[in-house]
Amino acid sequence: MAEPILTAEGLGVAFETPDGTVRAVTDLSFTLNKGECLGIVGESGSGKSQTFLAALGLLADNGTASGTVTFQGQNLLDLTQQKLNTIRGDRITMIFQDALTGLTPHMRMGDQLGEVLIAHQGLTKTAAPQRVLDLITRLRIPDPEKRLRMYPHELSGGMRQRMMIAMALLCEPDILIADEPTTALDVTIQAQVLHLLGGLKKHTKTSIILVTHDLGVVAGLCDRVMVMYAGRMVEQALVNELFYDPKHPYTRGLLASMPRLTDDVGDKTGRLSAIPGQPPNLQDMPGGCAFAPRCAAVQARCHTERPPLTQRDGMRRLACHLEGAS
Amino acid sequence: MTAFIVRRLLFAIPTLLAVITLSFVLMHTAPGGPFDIDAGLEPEILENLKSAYNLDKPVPVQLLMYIGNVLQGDLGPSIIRKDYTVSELLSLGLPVSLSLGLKALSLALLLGGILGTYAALHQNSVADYAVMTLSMSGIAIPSFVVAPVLTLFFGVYLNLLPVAGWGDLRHQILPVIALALPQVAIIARLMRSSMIEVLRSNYIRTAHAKGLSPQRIVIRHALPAAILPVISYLGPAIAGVITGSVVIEQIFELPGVGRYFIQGAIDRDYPLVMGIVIFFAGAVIVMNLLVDILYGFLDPKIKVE
Repeated sequence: MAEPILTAEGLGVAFETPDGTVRAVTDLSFTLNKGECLGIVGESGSGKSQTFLAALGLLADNGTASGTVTFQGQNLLDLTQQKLNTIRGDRITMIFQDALTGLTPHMRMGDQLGEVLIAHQGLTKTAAPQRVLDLITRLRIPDPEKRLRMYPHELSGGMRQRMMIAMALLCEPDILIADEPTTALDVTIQAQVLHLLGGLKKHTKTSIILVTHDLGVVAGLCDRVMVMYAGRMVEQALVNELFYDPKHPYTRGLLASMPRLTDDVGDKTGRLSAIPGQPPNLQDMPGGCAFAPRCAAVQARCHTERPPLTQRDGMRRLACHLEGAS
Repeated sequence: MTAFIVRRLLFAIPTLLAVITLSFVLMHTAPGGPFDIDAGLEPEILENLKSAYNLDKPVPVQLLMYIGNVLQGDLGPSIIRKDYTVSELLSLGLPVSLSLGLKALSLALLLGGILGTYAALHQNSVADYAVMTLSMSGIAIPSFVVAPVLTLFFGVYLNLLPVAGWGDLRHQILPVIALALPQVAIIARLMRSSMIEVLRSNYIRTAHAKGLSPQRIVIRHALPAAILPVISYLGPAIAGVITGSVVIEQIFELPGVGRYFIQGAIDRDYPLVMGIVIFFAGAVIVMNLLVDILYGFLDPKIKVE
């Protein structure tokens, strides 16, 4: 039986801007189970990243989070920064998209990794480097001693991302949140990083949350997928269910826009298919379903009545008026 | 590294020559001369005096002769203070000016850095606005206003500190504060804006995500990057302190180089003024070089070659 490790209930994230309040995430509820890999997909601006920045208290100054995110019986959103510091970097770690700007440019890699152990495991300055070296060697990073003496700008993009992942694994966390870990990398390096995450999933108890807009990455790695659109969850299902039988028109649109080598690309014109239109302005949300203006199967009530997220067959949850429609 | 320093020092030579030429011509263009105060001198004696200091020759010839002497390390005699050479006067004033300037600069860096960082960490708070208002005033109010006010308050009303003169450390407190204040103000503003920018960067978010303490994040992750604009300002800051010291030494009656500079300019003591100009220019050039070297240490992406 799946045992939840992280539970979000009614999570909302809002930003105060000079132009008004922007609701980046609205009424989001989900659970992450022990040892599971949960994929979060959606376009840019769908609230994927903000969800987890909020959970770790890393929102920008003008952002506020509401609702609850429960980990080990405590609501992370209620904790002080000081309390959060005992959890983040230790029990829950996060890696970011851009490892070049995400690493401190003027610190050697060894110091940046070592300080995690010093902060969370009380290691001394002299003991930390050896532990760091052990882990880096275990991750099969070539020439580890030399790499740890380097500064971030001296490493390749893939190496930086692997260092970032190593940094997140030092304390053997319960949850690793990977926010678009492969987006900034070229394809061969992507494969290396995914291999690393895949190995992590196989060999440790760490649960993984993979935030991405790359459906291929999700298919290869995740157990369950959650699709977000305009700050809300629109569909959630086991990875196979979602890929073979997508229910929400948005999910279908996403899957259809994946380029495939096997079939005639898209339609006969040789163009890649795309979802027409733009995601809605988060300050000025349509009254009904947020996807209605772009939806191919739109009905009259979609424009006035927002479809509730309901439990469907199996593990699926869906927010769409087209009942099990095909 | 050595090649870099040598090259920079070689580049300093044309700079110094330009500085010498410009100030020399400007000074000789200004009306008056060193012997105007000795009114009623016999014309023959005046002529003799002028020829003794080569003042009877055309300015370009004087300039070439002067540069020739400087290249041999001879800054010449002071025309007015007849018992001293310019080098002697410089070495008399230097300890005073140097101790004043270094203290003011350290104070400016320390106080400006702390205030700017504090303001950045508490952005848009009352403390932030207070620091920024004070700093704006510090930039706007010139030191020749601040210095007498300080003297009046701490020296005369409170009778805590000496109003002028040179002696123990207590004599230095007010001049150092007056000299440092404009620099504190500028450095605080620089520090604040660059710190705010750095605190918004991705690697600071990573550091927070690692669960590091706020102190460690500020000191180890943010400060070395945020201080770079302040370091590049050090060159102009040193020039500012030198300029300030000329005024401050005059106000507090301090026997420093700056006071000789003012006196020299008023007396048209050409060699004395030229000697000090060369010294100040050299100091700024050397400090700029030190700043560039320091930069290489703070930012690993910059290799000094």
